[in-house]
Amino acid sequence: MSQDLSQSPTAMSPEPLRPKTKRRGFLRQLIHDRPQAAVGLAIVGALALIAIFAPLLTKYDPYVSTRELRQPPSAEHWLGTDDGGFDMVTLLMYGTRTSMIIGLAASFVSMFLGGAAGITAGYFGGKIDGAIMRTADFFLVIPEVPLMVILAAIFGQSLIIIILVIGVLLWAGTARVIRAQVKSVRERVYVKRTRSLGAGNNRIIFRHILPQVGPLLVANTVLVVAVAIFDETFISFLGLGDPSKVSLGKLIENAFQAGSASRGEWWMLVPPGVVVTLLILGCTLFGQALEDALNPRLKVSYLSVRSFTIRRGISENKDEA
Amino acid sequence: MSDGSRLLDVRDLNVWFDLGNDRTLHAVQNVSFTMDAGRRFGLVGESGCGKTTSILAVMGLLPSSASVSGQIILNGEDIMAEGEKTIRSHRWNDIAMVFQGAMNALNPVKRVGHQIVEPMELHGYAEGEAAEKRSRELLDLVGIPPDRADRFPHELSGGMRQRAAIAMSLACEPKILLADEPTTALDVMVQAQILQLLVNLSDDLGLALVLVTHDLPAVSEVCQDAAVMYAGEIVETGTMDELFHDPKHPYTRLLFAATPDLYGDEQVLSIAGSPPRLDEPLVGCPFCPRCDSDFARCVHDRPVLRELSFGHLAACHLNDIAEQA
Amino acid sequence: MSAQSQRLLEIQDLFVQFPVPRGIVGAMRKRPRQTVKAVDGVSLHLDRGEMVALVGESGCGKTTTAHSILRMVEPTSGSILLDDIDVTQYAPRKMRPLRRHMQMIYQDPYESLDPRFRVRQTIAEPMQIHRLPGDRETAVTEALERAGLVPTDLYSERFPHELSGGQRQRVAIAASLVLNPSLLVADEPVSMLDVSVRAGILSLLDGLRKDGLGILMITHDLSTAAHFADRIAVMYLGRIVEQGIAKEVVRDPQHPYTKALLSVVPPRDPRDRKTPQILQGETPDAVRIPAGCRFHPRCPVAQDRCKLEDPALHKPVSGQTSETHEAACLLV
Repeated sequence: MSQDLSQSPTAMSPEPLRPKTKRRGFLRQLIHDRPQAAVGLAIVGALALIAIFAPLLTKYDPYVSTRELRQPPSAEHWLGTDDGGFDMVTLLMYGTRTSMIIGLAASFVSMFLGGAAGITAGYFGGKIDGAIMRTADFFLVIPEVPLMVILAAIFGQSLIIIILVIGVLLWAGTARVIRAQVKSVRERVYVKRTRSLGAGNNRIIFRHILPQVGPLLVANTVLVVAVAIFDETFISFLGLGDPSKVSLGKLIENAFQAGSASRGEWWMLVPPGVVVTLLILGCTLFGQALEDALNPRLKVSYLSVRSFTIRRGISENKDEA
Repeated sequence: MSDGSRLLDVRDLNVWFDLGNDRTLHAVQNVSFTMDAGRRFGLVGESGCGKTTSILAVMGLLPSSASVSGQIILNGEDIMAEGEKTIRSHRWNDIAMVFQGAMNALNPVKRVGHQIVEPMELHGYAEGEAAEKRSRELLDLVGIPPDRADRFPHELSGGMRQRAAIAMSLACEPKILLADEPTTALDVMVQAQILQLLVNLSDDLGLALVLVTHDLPAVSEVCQDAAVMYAGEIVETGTMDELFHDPKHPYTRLLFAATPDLYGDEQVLSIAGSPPRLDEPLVGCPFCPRCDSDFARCVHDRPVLRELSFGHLAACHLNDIAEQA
Repeated sequence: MSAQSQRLLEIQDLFVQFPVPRGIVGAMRKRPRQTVKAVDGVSLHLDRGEMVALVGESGCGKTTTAHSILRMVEPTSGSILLDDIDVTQYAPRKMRPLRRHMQMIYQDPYESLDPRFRVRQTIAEPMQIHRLPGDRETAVTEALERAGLVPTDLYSERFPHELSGGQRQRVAIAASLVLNPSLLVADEPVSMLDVSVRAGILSLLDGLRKDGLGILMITHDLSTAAHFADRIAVMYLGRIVEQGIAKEVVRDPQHPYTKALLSVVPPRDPRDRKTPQILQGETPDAVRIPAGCRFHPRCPVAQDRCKLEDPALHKPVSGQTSETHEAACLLV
């Protein structure tokens, strides 16, 4: 295999390429590194399944009263009935469904607004950046709840309005995070190279920057879902939600209105609160793990307290530093 | 000039990294070298050859995924025997390191003078007024004007920062200095200044210097001897003169041939192919696929590093043939 | 090629200056506005089939000069003629058609490719940007071949992280060749690569040069410049202080800075150890360029008049150097 190296110095002899190392799927790796992601995913997954398959899981109709008012938990009604005679378990299932839909929809609105704003601000910089970020600051600073109340009171109580209101409130946080990453990706050599090739802004943003920023946007949106669900719950609790839909917040509001606390009718008040808490907790756990894994700025190196291992050939001896 | 006292004796150093999934990377393979006072020794090789890992092992600065075997005998004591326990007291006091990119790793919010005092206090060498005084002496020793002592790193140029990093490493009066690529990313003129500084420190203080680099001409200029590393092992050791004029390993010869010389006219060569993977067991000579002088034996018989003449070692079957001839 | 003239690039009296921001405090204190004179009067030419190395230390302006050719940085004044078209006269928006003719290779092969693009996508992209007709696939294959990445189907589907540094740099070169440029600007093309791979890339560039491309190579490595370039221009603090045929500049340097620079390059052969002429201190920053000859504060042979007169590039009076060898020193 003697090679005459002075011949064809320009061609490469087929050198072994870096191997495609068997990488674990992203999700598996994430769960391995951050077990809380698994917990969050499990909770949200379970609740989502229940929400989707609600009609199959319960024989009761959430809009039809069983006429058994304020019944404590029993064999027919595992969590009893509320003051209108509706089965609590059924209400919970449908309520979860509504809350999740609103949460997801609102966070999509926020994702599009926040993503677009963040990318525009980060990419173009200068005055555009300033204008967008000042607007975002404004939204970040306003107290959400009074604004929600006012907007809901003015624009009415339909589902769409609620979704839009929440979405408009939440875009600013996403915009900030995305803008920061866009600014850093923009400075990378391959982006500058593509620009000097003559690429226009559209190409650079959609082909080069968006794919880099996309995962972070998704992670951030999962966190926004958690907040959106909370916001919706709160709006409904205040009585400003869509009256025609059953949502978890509405259930809590209803329980208050019916005086269930003072009557000791815990099954009307506590279960919706627990479910909403679980839902938000699950989204937050998963979302934070995801953002942790994807946001390069959040990478923290931990100085290892454990030191290296000495091999003696006979026994292995682990040292503690 | 060496005064003959043996300061460091590294014997059969091996480092493995646990890659997960039951895979191990054998990054350093049976590396041995010695350091005497006042000597300058080069550890040369390209990226991935294991040179940095070797000196990190000597300093005991490997991560928890690493396992090490071998002996590191410092002043007669094997400091690797108990790992961190035994190495710790020697770190910085007897053996210190200038890391790759150290000039960019200075603490940006602390003044330079203070950063030189820090290791003294941390390692119990000196503190307070005595430490401040020594800090000023060290800055003078490395050629930083005293008015810069109270500046922050970003106010200093790259060359000055590298000098500061060297001063930091000398804080506790070590006898051995390991310098990892101390001049990469520096301009040619500043590079020359830093190399001259290292030579002067070695001559004046009797410091034993290990220069880890891929820059062969720098090693030619600064070091008396060097070891060439490839795929985790030392393939040749000798004086700079021997390595250039009488190389006993094809990689050494080819590495020099791939380095352009300012005045030479010979064609600059490249070495086709790339180094072998160290996470798989190796059969035969690791350089065989890229070698221009390989023959049948090289494919399945791994050569051993042997002494060919006093101080000149190489791991190549060609030398066996030469001897038999 | 015959229809085009030999002269590919002509830079005349290029100045690139950047204002140093004063900040609010500075403005309030009425501190004088300062400018960084990154490029302070550079004239350079490059022919087809020629490789010119622009050599100097950091801060000398070589990178800024290269960037201004491609209008990545706006020249303050001067002209840059590419095939007799003055690039500086075009508004940034109108630059696209011109960009086809000049391409840049970057220093960091690990950063110059989009990690999410396969090799063939990276190479095909310039064609998409410029809406070139023709079969993209064939063009990609040809570019890979020209860059020495054969067999091409082995490489075209790969992602950058599956390639070594040398291979990545070849991909970057292939991507720049696909538009058939006349000028290639290579910014430290091999400084981040292993020594054993460098010659391969440089020979590739040399081969492209023989094909008729003009190559401007930015480098701080004088040995590389001496071996591969036809001509060398040495820059110091925004000016060219010496230029000429590569081997001549290296073997018979005229300017004291060039001499010092050459003397500190360590030789390969330990027997060639020489006395390096290490200049004290560091290059002053480009805001406060010394009066007179800009090199005089560090010059080992400076005389009184060097503090007063600013020398221009001229042929040394000794008459022993060739026609094209020039230096900006009052003493030659």
